[in-house]
Amino acid sequence: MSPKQERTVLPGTVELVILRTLADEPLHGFALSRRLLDRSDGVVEVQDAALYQALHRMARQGLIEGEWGRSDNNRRARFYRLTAKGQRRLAVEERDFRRYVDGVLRILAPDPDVGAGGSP
Amino acid sequence: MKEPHRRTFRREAGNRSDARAEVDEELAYHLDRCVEELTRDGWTETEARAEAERRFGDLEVTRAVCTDEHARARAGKRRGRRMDELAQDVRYALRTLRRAPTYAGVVVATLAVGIALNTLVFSLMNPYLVRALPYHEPRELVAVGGVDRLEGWDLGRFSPAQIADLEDRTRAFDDLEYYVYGSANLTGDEGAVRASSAHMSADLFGLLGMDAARGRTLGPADAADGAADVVVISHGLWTRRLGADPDAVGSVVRLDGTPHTVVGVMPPDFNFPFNAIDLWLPFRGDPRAADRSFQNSLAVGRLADGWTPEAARAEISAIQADLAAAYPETDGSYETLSVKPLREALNFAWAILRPGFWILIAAVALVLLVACVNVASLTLARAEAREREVAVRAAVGAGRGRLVRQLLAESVTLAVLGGLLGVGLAVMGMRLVGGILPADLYRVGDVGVDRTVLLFSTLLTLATPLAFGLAPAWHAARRGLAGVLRSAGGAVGSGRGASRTRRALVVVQVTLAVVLVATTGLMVRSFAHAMDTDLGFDPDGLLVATLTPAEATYPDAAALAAYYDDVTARLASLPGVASVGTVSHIPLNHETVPVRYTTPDGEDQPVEDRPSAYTSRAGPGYFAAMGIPVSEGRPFEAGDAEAAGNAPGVVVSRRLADDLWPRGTAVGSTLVYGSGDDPVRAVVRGVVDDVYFDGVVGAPRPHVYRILEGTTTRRRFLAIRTEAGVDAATLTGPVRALFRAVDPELPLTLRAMPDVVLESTGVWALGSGFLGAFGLVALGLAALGIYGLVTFTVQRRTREMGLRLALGADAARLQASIVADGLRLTSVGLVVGLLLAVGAGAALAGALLGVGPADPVSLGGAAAVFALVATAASWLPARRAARVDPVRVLRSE
Repeated sequence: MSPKQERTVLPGTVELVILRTLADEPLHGFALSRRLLDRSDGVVEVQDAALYQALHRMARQGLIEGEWGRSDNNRRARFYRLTAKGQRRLAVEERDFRRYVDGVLRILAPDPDVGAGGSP
Repeated sequence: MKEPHRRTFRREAGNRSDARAEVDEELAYHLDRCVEELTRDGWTETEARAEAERRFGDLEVTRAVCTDEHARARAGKRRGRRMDELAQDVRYALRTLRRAPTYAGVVVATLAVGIALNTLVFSLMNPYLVRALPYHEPRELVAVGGVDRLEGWDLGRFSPAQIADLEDRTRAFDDLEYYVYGSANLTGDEGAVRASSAHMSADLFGLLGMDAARGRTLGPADAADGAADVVVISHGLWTRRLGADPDAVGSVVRLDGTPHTVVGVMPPDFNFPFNAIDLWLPFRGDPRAADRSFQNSLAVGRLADGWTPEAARAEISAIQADLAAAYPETDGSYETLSVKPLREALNFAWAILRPGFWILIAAVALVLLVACVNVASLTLARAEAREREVAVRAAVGAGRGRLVRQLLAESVTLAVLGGLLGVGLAVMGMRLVGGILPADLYRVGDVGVDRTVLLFSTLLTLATPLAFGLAPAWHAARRGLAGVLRSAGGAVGSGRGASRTRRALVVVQVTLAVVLVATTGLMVRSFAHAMDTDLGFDPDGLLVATLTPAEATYPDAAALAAYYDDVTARLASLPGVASVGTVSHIPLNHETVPVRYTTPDGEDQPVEDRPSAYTSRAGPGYFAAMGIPVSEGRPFEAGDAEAAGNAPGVVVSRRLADDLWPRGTAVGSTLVYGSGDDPVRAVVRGVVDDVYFDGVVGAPRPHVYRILEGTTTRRRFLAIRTEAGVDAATLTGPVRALFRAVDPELPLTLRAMPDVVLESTGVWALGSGFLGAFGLVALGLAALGIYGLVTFTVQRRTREMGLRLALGADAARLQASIVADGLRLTSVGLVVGLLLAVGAGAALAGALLGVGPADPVSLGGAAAVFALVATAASWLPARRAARVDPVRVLRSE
């Protein structure tokens, strides 16, 4: 296993990061995978297989819509963009995720009553 | 729109391979970009590709998953697009129709009336003929009956012993049970009532597969000798008598003077053997020990797996032949048995009801057809007026399929609106006519809208666009778009074909309406005949009281005589009462007792070959009270009594007397009646006029009146004749009070004789009422059709008329020619319709009374009505045409 493959996303958040990224601009699959890496400074890497399966599942659910277009190197590529339904889903998931992360962070924070370290 | 493109993509088979190609291309692009990236970093082409595929993950699974998702997404999108288009079509249709409110209103109203009448008739028929019986697996349930050798009736009763033997030997039935229905005097704090009851064999509730709503049903334990007196009561009785008391189970009610413990309350929808039954009681004792000659039980069975009623009938008839040989005196009364679906056996009026409903359904179907033809005609006219719009839309690129779909969407939208309104109207109609249906006939549940009715109405609604959209569509298809475009340049003069079609439609419409109106005429004439029929007695001013004194209080003939003599004497002295008579069976009360008769000379004749009469027992005052004239001899008198040693006397009807003693020697002669083994010889005391006893169809049957006095006939009718000028209704109060004074425990049924008669003539009253309403609607629709066509023709020819008037044509002549045109159309429809009406009348022959199918009054009346209506419907637009101002018309061009 390459160390790269261990830097993967938390389960259940693939959809969220795809929605968030496509909210900025329509992208094809390859550009999307590179954008995820760039934006997370290489922390978040979704495996390509999982990415494409997620894209097609989300397209079938009507969250995103695929359309053939011209890529930067002038080849036919399939671009995905958010639908209105995807927009709404993004808002919900983003809120839920922030709430969840806030909660986890609060648990991780040192408890002032117990003292630094928190271990008995 | 990219029509051809979309059509290729629509092919379902191509969808999957298209999806696979797209996914392959998408993934190939991704891998190529990865290879590019890696080669830039110094990898060789081959290594780069291998590395890209390795990093990608499971390529084959991804390809499969993505193809699958993608194919589903594409299919879903196409569905969505179709829904969008449908919504668009409907929106467009609604918009278009809003712009033509008159057209839309007339069409929706016309269809609504048609659909309402069909829904109404179907929902009336539903509980009687369609809705499933409220028992477990009702299709397996059948009634088993003996076929009467003499009368041919096929619901003959058995002794419980015979049914037990049949059950032992048959393989065609899982179970055979039996029942007897009757009535009991129910007494208590709330007063006495006569309640309908049924005695059920040991496991009949189990056979029906029914549970009680409260408590339990009856089972084999209740049938044991010496079991407690128990009763299961109906939901209706529980609410009426016991105030829906939740603790009713365990309470005690008195039936015919004996206390019975209520062990169960049935659910509201349970009805067996008919709706009016309030009490279910167990048969006691071993059926095998029962007297075989007491054949009073009706058999019901559940067919075993794989047995049809026909196969079961053959099997059980063979068993019956063995039993008849073993017990010729008793079981031998039937040669063969019948096995028929339980619903047919339980519904006493099945033979009348089913054809009656089919007649009504046929009639309302005709009305709907007329309505559809009307709408077709209107739609055709509108299509012509819209040719320009259609041409414009075609010119800007609307595909032909889309245009046709658009027209279809309009038709369906109209139909659905009509259907919704129609079902609403039908529900209102049910409230109006639901009450006039006979409540005591076997039916399942109440008249109302259920799933079956809704399904029926929906199918009907969706079928109407076919009926009214077909002609316009056919016409449009024939002309084609090119034709539309060509003719759209000129304003008028196009569409001669459409005119021909419209004229044909009006002819069809008149034809259908004539059939309906003429048939209605036949029904009305039958009803009039039924009302005019001399019943042989005078029902007006006659009250009928029915009493069944309980055996516990009135044990023998003497006690019964004392009671009946007492009330008869008291009634006779009541102010306003002219006379009173007693009888065992009152005419037209749906019960008859047949008897074979002959003279002493004919006694060597087999009983089967002797003529048959009805018989009843009558008291001394009966003929006078009923208004039955005595033409020879004398009626029964006080002192005539059925007593040992006396040669009994009888009174016979005119037909019987003429049949046996054509030379007028009836009085004093001897009549022989009854079975061949045990004949009764009686002296004829008098001859009375014929009386219709079992309905008003055909001729009255011969009748033998025997003496009622001195018998143990428990239930008797009292015919109470009011004095001339006294309204019978004013006497009901005093009569009831009188009976209460004599025996407050004894329930009384009091009816006016005309109401009893109406039960027999009501079929025609209902028939002519319903058909009359339907006929009026069809007539109105046909009138609308003629009016619409003539108006339309006149409008098209306004310019021509203006010219002709300007050139000096006679306005009156012009008007007459327009009217003549309308009448010409009508007369074609009229002739065809009258011919068909004779056919329809022949099909209805069984329901007609006193008229033939070619009744000149009905046919002539229909013809006259249509001539009148057609003249009026053409004359109105013609008058407008003749008043056209030529100058203005010509200037407007």
